[in-house]
Amino acid sequence: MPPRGSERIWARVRDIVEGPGLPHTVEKKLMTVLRESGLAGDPLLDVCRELVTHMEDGVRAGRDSDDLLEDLGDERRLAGWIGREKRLGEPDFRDRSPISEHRRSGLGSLARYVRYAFRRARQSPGFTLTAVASLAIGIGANTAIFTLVHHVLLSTPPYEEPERLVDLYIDSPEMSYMVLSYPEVMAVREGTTEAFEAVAAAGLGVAQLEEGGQTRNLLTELVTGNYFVTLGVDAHLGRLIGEADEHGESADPVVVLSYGLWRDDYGGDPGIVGRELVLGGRSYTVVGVASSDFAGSFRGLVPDLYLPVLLRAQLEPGSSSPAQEWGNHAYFTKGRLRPGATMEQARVLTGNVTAGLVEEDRWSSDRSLTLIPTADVLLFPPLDRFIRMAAVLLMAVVGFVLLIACANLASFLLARSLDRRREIAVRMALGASRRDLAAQLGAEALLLALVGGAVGAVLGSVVLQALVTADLPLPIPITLDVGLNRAVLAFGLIASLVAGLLFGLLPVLGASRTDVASTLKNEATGVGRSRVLSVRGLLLAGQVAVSMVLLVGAGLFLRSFQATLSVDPGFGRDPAATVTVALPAGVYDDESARALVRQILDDFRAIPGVEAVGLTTNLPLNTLNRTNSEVQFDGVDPPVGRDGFVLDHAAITPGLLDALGIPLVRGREFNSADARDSEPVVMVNRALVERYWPGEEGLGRRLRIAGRDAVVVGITSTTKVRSLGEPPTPMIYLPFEQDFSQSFQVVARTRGNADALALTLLTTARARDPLILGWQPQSLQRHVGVLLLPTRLAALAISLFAVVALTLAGVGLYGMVSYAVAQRRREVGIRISLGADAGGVIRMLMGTGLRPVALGGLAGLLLALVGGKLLSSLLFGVRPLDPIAYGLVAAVFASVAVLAAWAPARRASKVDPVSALRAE
Amino acid sequence: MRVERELMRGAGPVAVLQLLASRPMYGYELAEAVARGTEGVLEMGQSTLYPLLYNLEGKGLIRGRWMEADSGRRRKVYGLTKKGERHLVGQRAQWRNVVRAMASLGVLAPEDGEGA
Repeated sequence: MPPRGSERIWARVRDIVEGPGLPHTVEKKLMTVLRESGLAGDPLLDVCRELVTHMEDGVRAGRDSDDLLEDLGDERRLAGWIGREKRLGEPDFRDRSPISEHRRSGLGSLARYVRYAFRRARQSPGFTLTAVASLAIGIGANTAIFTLVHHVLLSTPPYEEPERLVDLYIDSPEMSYMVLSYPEVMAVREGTTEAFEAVAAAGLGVAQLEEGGQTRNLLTELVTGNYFVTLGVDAHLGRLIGEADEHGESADPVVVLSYGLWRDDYGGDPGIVGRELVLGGRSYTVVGVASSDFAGSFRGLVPDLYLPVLLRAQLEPGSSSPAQEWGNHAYFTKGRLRPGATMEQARVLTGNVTAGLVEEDRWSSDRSLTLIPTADVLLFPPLDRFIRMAAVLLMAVVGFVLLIACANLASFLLARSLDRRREIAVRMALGASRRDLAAQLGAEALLLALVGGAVGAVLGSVVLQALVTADLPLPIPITLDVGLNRAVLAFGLIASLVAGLLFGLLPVLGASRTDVASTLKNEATGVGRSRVLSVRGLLLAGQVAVSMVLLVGAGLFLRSFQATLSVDPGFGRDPAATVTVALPAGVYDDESARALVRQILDDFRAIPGVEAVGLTTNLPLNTLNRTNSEVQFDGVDPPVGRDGFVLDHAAITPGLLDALGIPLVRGREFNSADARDSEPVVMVNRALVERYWPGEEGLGRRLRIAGRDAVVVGITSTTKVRSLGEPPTPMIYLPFEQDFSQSFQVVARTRGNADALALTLLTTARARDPLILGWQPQSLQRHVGVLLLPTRLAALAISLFAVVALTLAGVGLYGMVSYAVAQRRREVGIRISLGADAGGVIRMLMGTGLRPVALGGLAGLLLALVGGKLLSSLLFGVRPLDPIAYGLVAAVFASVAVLAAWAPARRASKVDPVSALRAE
Repeated sequence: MRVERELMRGAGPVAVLQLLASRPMYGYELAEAVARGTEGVLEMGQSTLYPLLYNLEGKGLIRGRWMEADSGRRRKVYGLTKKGERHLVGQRAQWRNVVRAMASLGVLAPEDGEGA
């Protein structure tokens, strides 16, 4: 039906209807009512204004479009009634709103509040999304990272009566916490039966599983027969390794699977017990599966298999029976105190054991046994201090970021509460109870917090999975079985609920009759600030300060990591491949083994792309293998109470130094003349010469190693031996033929792809004998990368947190400036209409947001300066007050802050001054 | 509890007149006051309220005037006319009589288990 009246009247009607920005559906319905009413001229405008005003009042009172539409009822019928009544007639009205009992009952009200909260959330999607996203990031990402830390470092193992367990270490001049060798474990066991009811030990190893024509390496724990019983761990299926499996210096070929391996690789097959597994070419019987909550003795390293320690020799060729290996310190030892026995008693007895070992000439007199309650050990005593510091640091970081997330939520809710001050005042003037309003606002805040928490939990799971499956360059496979830490998740959720409720309810808590009246009178002209805005400013400043601290921390760790990258290990400048190779045990005698190795080395030399190749029994920076012996020097007295100096050494073939890129400084390298029966010779590095023969050349000097007198024929440059941070460390090289081993590491220098070459080395060796074992084929670069892992992880973790914090703070800043801009729309309109240029307006609006940012940033930098000093022990090669780190951080933060403030300010500067002035 | 249409037709106008007797109000305010004052028994949406107001206005019982509030917003505020006041007096007398009559019949006594 075409509109009646002049076009001008209808244009005004449209202006009136569309002016206040009512929901589109409401506008449409109003227009229909007015069109169908048949009214024209002033009566039409009259009714139009009145209905629109009623709608506006409804919107201000917090009613949503569904409600308002329902209020209007059937538009044609209403149009008819209004039209008729305006011309005077009999009213025919109906009550369109159902009057129902449930409106007054508590439970019905609750449902209404919740439904209303959902509608409000849908009405302002931008706000809802930002608030939920902030919370989700804050709660989720932090829960994930904290869960990982907690699992790796802080969780308690499922031992029975853990307070009776004691860790044992050897205290020696070389190392404060050296683990024991197998014979030493036996000596302790025999000498401490009055204090310990059991002494057990476990060492790490790698076993090569052969299945379906494929081989793969599995992490193994080699355990004494009483290991599981001592810890008080049960089997999930079948049985665990027991003392009955041990016989003298050997053991039955039995194996226990970890729960994870059994579940993932064998599908949780209940018939696994009794199956045969082939490890290293030999058959082992599966006797059981460990319980699901037991993850071995070494935090973070979950073994796949448990095997009797006495079988070590056949699992790792090149090693002898543990019962004979006094020098192989590889076993983490635990003792279980007898009920009623004390640590003191145990210490006395271990003191006796020590005295016995010294008397037997097994130990020097400067060694002793150290006892530490197992509960006090996190990972390994020398590392624990570092780990505890790192854990505290990480928890502080997690807490900070959660705080920022809550501050964001609080800030958003506060802003919204300002918008609704007038609405609340009007509703209270109309008689709404404070309780009703509180319940309504509380429901909205709760909804945001709960949705944010739920999304956060999902996000946290995803992040956690990503972290756990990340490709870490480790020499041993690691599996982690983690679920989100519920305590932290709950904490994050509660914190956000509290923040939400507090700030969501603020307007109601503060309102009083006087406020209501004055609020109604001072309806927002949009100018001026209130006390509440400065609270927001404070929140933002706080967020900024914390973010700054995190960013500086991240910057320092990243610089630290950079520094470790630039440490020169002294070898491996050119790409090279490496692989550990071992001949199958018990197959080759000495002669045939030597011949085979010579052949394999020739084969290696013939591989295309190989520029230099050599073998060694001790690759530099090899985390799994430490070969050292006592050495005596011509004319140099050994330390008091000792027979010689304990030094690292390696047996190498000609070509090894070239392959590793270790330059020869003086003398000559080994050659084919340095055979088994020729004069014993050695090469040493410069560090050794400088330490024991200072001021001399070193060539021609003699030393005694491995029971032989050898003469120094060559001096090499100094490389890192055990760690990147060590001081110059002495190293001795022996000719491979004079210190032959059936297991060794291959190094081959190439210009091509080192990882691929590593695999080729392995297949080449296997071409001579398919049963040859191989470990870790990888590039040399990757091998060195292992040592960088802790620093890299720390840098990564803190950087992640810092990015999260920065994002949240940026979002908070963006929100604050947007809000301030919206509040001052009228003022902006006035300024622009008075001729202010856009740039000036933008700067003015940005100033509002950037003031708290500047304050917070300054506070943050100061806090960081103080906090940086606390980090100094965790940093490598960088000072806590590193100017580059600080400079970068300040630059990054300033950029983000300016951008977050500029975007809404720029949008505001484009506002149409007329509509800005007209709007309320 | 849904009030029947016939009852509403009688109650609605009287309720509005009674409220406007205390002070002038604008449409939304009136709707809120009716709902609140009757504890939700009489609830008027726009579809009820405005036809009613226009009817009363047409009969000269109330008069509406556009007024500017302190805030600057304009609203149509309704007040009772002299005719409306007299009409209200009469309506109230009728309601008292009806209520008394119903009470004596026991219509107003609560049922068993029902709140008063």
